[in-house]
Amino acid sequence: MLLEDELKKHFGFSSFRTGQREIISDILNNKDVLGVLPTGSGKSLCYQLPARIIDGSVIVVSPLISLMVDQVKQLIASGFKDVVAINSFLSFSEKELAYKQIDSYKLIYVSPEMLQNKRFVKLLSTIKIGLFVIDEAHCISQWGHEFRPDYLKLDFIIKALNNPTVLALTATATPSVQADILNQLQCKSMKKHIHSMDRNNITFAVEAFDNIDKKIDFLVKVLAKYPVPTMVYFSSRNWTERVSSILESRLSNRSIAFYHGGMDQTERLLVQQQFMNGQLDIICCTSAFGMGINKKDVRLIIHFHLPTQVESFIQEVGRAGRDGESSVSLVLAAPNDDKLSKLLIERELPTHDQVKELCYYLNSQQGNIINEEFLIELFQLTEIQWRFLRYQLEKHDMIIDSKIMSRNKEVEVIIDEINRFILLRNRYKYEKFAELENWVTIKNCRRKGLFSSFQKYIDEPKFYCCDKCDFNILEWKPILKEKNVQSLDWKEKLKELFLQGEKHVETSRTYKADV
Amino acid sequence: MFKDVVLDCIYKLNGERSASAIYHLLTGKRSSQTLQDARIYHLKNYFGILKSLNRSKFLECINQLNNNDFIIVEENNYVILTERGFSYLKKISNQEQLSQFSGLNYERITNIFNSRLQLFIQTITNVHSNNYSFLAISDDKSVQIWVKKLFNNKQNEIDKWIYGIYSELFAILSTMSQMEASVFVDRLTGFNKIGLSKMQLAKKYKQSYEDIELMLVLIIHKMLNQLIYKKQNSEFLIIFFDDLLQESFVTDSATKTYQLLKQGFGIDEICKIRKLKESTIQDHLVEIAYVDPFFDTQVFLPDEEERDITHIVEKYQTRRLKDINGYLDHKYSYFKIRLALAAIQHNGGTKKEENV
Ligand SMILES: Nc1ncnc2c1ncn2[C@@H]1O[C@H](COP(=O)(O)OP(=O)(O)OP(=O)(O)O)[C@@H](O)[C@H]1O
Ligand SMILES: [Mg+2]
Ligand SMILES: [Zn+2]
Repeated sequence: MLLEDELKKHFGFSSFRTGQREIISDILNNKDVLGVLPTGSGKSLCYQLPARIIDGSVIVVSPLISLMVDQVKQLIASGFKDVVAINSFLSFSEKELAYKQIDSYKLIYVSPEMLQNKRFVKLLSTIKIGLFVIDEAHCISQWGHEFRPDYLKLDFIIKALNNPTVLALTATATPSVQADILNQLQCKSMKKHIHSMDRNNITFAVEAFDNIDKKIDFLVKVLAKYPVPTMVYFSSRNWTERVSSILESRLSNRSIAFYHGGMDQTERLLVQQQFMNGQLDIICCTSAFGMGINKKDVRLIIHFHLPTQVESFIQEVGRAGRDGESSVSLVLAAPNDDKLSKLLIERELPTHDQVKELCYYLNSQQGNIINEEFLIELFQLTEIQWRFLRYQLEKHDMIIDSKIMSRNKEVEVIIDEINRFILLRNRYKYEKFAELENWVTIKNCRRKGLFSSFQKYIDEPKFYCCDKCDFNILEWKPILKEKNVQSLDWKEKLKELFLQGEKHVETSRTYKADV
Repeated sequence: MFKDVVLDCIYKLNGERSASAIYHLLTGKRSSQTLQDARIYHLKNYFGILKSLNRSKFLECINQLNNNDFIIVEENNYVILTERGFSYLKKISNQEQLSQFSGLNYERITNIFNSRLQLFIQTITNVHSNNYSFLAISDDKSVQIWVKKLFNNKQNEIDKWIYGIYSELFAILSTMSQMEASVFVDRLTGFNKIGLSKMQLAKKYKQSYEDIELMLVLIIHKMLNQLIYKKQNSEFLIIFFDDLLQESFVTDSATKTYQLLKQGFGIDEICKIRKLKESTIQDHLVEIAYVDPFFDTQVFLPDEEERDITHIVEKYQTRRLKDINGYLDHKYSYFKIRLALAAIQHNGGTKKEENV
């Protein structure tokens, strides 16, 4: 069997990208693989193609439900029918249906919390599983930037599923994170395929300002100068809305929208697709946007706020220039920017008081079954905080199988241990954030600095390297695509939408473009 | 428009309900209390027309009206229209518009009809342009399945369907205002053109988010009104809701109770079977009484008792349970009074609005 033929047959691509072929052939030889490949390099293909070839189903654990749903939609849209995403957002009947015909799917995407469901795991263990994939595998590592407790129990699940071949994929993993992944999965013999995370067509620049107003002014200036598909990252929902309305008032003729996790589903879908379709020029977003965004010609990624870790930054910047053309990462810095990031770090895990109150409460409820929604409401927890706490409480045998247990350990001791752990994690995260802050004020090459903890060498840049070496953001010459601006009345628009009288519309459009 | 709708609700509620009654009404809470309010106070047309309204936006509006002296919010949170609010309401130009909302009538149809239509338009225009891989703009599984079925049936007549839907939409939109027609068309997704989000529409047309949402609902209601009452003119659009018209408009739980009742079970038996409290079953009965004019309430409320209550309601011109109960010296249970109120609305002058 020639892998290239299979690739052509199922995906229509004529050649593999770096790393894909090696990973796929290792999988087909039943070797466990850890693949570290840069963002946008085609990691999904490393299991989507085997799914077409191997006997049995492929399970893909994916941390973000929206990402998973998008992928499945795209697969279905491109003709793969035997694909399903199973997560807690499915309705009861949708789930039942999926369960009933579970053996008819070749590709089964699941969220990690679904794998905590014993009935579901049992069901999976009844079908033949050819490959078990962990996407965004850095989430397994305690030291990864998106640590998910649910990911930690994956080694048990793999055993429960009779040890299928395992593939762990990520775009960002330092050597210590890589080691941690192998350790957590109990797969010491994993074959590692580590590739340079550096993307040679992306240029790095940072601009610093005395205050936020100057920062906004500069943002407007850059956006006005470069009418290219642009993403601007913020660390809060509020800011996406605020800046997008400022931009709208100061940049005429550009279409701008914001995107964050607080918007309703349809609205989010429309905005996302408009951006993909080139109807939007600028999108002001939080990190909720981006994962799963696979637009080829994003030219400019601006960080109005920095994320909290180098790894997230690399992921977000990785949305740029998937077509290989010149693209830029621009960071805008101002004093006090760190306050918001630090707040985000603190808010991710529960506070000491929350831990204390919850533990005392549970202590008084021994023997009862926990009601998650009630506890989340009562102690005002975010979902991530709750999942963290639940994991900790299970670790300390305070909760077993959703039941609140009586223990011999004093509740105070448990509270202490959990809080000590939180303290350690927060301290670790402050350090990680400091790394990124240091990078902002670095004296030498930004590219080298950014990737130094991941790899020894960097690629030769294809266009410019960074503002320390050879680049000035105001002298950049990106590819500009022409956009036809048209303002039709509703009758004309309706006609065009329904593809009626295309000729008429065609001519009026060229006329407008001439003007 | 949002403000006007809220004011009109307050006006019609006659100071006998709290602000949250309006919130429940607009968001379409399917409780017997809300359904009852909708009917007694002639507010059926607003039922469920702003499903996604969040509480804080609503309270913001109430506060604003309060600050502008259009309304008074009493201590128990009951809301009353002021002189100023009243004269504003009488002057607004879109009274006619507001009366075209048909909330309760189309409550279950509106979204489904809209999503089906949008997704089908996206599908046929893409397929016509030879693009078979696009992301569906509706996430709703049942809508997707429905559209897929229709599409499979009509695959060979795509041109006809594109033209058919186009002409019917064109005709209907032509009867609406420029703004409504534009908003509707901007919202549509086709080949290589993704519809605008509500937020974007709001900005583009300089409206509030709630206004746009109301406008989109109103457009659909107007469309449905035209399509339903002039059936002969529609061959295409009607397909998108015809199967939905038959469904009744009661809560699912009440439907179950009704079924048991029809099988001859008494209230206490139903309580046992359904493991529900008597008061809940009574709620269901009231709900059914409102929906089904042929529901015989005799067993629960003999004719002479009904007349007694009706008399008081008319004499004192109030629909407030507590007051009625007082005027009747607590002779009848609230359950009986509510049943009587339901009967009044079937016999009384509410028939008119049924046809809107
Ligand atoms: N061999 C190939 N030839 C051409 N295109 C490819 C090939 N492999 C993958 N692609 C395309 O590359 C794009 C990015 O792929 P994918 O989403 O799998 O990247 P990823 O590595 O998972 O990125 P991320 O880090 O963002 O998750 C997709 O559009 C995919 O179709
Ligand atoms: Mg990926
Ligand atoms: Zn450099």
